[in-house]
Amino acid sequence: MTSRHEWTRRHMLQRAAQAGIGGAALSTASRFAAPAQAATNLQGPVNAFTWGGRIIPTEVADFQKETGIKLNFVGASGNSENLAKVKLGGGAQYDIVGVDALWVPKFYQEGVIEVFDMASWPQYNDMFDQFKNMSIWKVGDKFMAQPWAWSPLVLWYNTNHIKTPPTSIKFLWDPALKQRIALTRQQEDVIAWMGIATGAKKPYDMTKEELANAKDGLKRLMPNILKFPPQEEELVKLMADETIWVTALSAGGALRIKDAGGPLCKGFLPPEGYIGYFDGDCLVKGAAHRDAALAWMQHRVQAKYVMENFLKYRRPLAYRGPLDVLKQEGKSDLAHELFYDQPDLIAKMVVIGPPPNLGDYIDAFNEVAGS
Amino acid sequence: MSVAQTAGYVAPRHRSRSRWPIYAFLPITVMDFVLFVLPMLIMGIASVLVIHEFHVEYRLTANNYLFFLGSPLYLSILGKSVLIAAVVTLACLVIAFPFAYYLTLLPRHVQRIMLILVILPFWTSYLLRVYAWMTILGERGLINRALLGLGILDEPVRFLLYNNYAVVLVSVYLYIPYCVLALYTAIERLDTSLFSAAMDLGARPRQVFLHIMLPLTLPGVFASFIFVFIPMVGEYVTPTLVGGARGMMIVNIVVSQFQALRFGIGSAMVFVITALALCMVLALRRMARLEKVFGV
Repeated sequence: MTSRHEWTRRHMLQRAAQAGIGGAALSTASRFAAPAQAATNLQGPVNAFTWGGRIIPTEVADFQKETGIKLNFVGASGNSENLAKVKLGGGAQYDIVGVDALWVPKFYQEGVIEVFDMASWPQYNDMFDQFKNMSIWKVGDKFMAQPWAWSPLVLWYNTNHIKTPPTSIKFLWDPALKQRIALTRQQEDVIAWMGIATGAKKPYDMTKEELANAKDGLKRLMPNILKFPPQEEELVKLMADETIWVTALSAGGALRIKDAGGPLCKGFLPPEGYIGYFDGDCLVKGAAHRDAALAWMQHRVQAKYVMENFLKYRRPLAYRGPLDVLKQEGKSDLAHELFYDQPDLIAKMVVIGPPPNLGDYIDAFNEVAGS
Repeated sequence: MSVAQTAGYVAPRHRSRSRWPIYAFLPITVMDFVLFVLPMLIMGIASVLVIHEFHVEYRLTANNYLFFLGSPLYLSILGKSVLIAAVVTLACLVIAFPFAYYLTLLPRHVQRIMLILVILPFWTSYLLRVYAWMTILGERGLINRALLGLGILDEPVRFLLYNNYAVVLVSVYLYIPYCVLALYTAIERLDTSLFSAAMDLGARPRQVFLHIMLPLTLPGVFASFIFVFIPMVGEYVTPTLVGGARGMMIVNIVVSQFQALRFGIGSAMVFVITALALCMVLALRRMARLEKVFGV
């Protein structure tokens, strides 16, 4: 652990020096210590209502050691549910809320989160340009969310049973896959996938006709669907024991399936399009522990924690620091397999968001799955 | 009369006794009010207001109810949920009744051991028990492995899991202890000499069961219905885990409405389901003529 800490700091400084900003690096290094210095004035605990699989124990323990502030993690389950809970609980109950992609502006419009300045943060320059210039998350120069993870949703398939690599999303309708597909029970995402397959222009903002086509696509796909589990973990388990042969998971799906004792799986990004997400942590409006929450947000994006997080959860993150280190360590293949070196994909993804007619999406799903 | 009573100790003791029921009922009353009555009241109000996501218009509407009651799909899912709940309740009663009866015939110390075994599943989490069934019924589960190992099957069967039959099977397993305990309590109190008397007068075992035993154990049957049927109509976890792609029950639909930020429609659905459960309890109570059984 210690060696990783030393190594991370050293490489970060090396990289800064190579870029000819040694002075800035020194300044950065001093800023790294800032949270600890300011610790005495901060009020905690920080109540983080965010997605599971994104916080590592080390960063929490270090934060508590440096600031004396405890982090309370509350697992989030879905964007609309998060919105409802934060709307009810507000800043008295939550300081930070985890939100996906296009849901972030929705949270802002609903007045439950506030913007904050990130440009002055030491790690700001380490962020991929795609996130720095994420106009939908910005109000002026301020951000609605601190970018964290991103990934396309890949269609993973079992190579024991699917010998010919698919070339189109249409392979999902192959009768040979009867009851061999499972997708998470996110109704709007399932309908959006169907929208992609049936040629909808904006899968998260479909017209009535496009929605009808998507619904028809789902109806035809139902014989191949085994179930719609609520959690990704169940998809991994079903793939691992070969109950299903195809599913949609984020980057690293094949590794997770293999870790669960499963077969060799390969990923496929359909040429027709694919869903993807990027998420971030938002500052709840009127957060009772606002300063401590901001200190935590700065603390966790230090290169060493980002690296540890990437290796643990194997998902591309919004910060490029670990990418350079992975290359230096000869782990470029891992970075590539997990799309970490391909942030250009972000612009190609059909980004998860709340459809303006969310109820129609839910009805379309229920009408097919409930019939 | 004791010295203590004559010395005036009786009166305060009586006073404290008369107050005791208030204190005894207070926690459950508060809990019931905060966790049931109040949320239902809020949902009742929400169900008759015009609500667009988080924006409430304070005007009355019946549209939320009309949306639900006017949808053949949602009504059929409600019907399916009621049917599955009825099948599970019936299966639990059929299995639990003979078990509970023969349990009462065993020596006391054996009964105690058997009752511990009945409630043993409660020592593990509900979710864990459902997952255990998934490992039994799955394509690579115990049953398939055994059948393949014995050479009965060439390849695993897939109909054991992820369908409505699996929902019924797992639910019966989950709810049967409630049924056994309710029926055991009712049967244990029976005066078994009534059975002998009926038999002496020429009644057949079937007649004894239908005309004596069953009517006298109706409170237990009624309690089983409440413990099994009502939670089963609102069951969410089991259909989600062991039901298939079409394994939606009415609560899945309610959840989806709240996820779609349709608070008015979701609330109306909850109200209709609650009203339905209440009506069924009242109807059963009337049909079973429990007043007669309880002697009130």
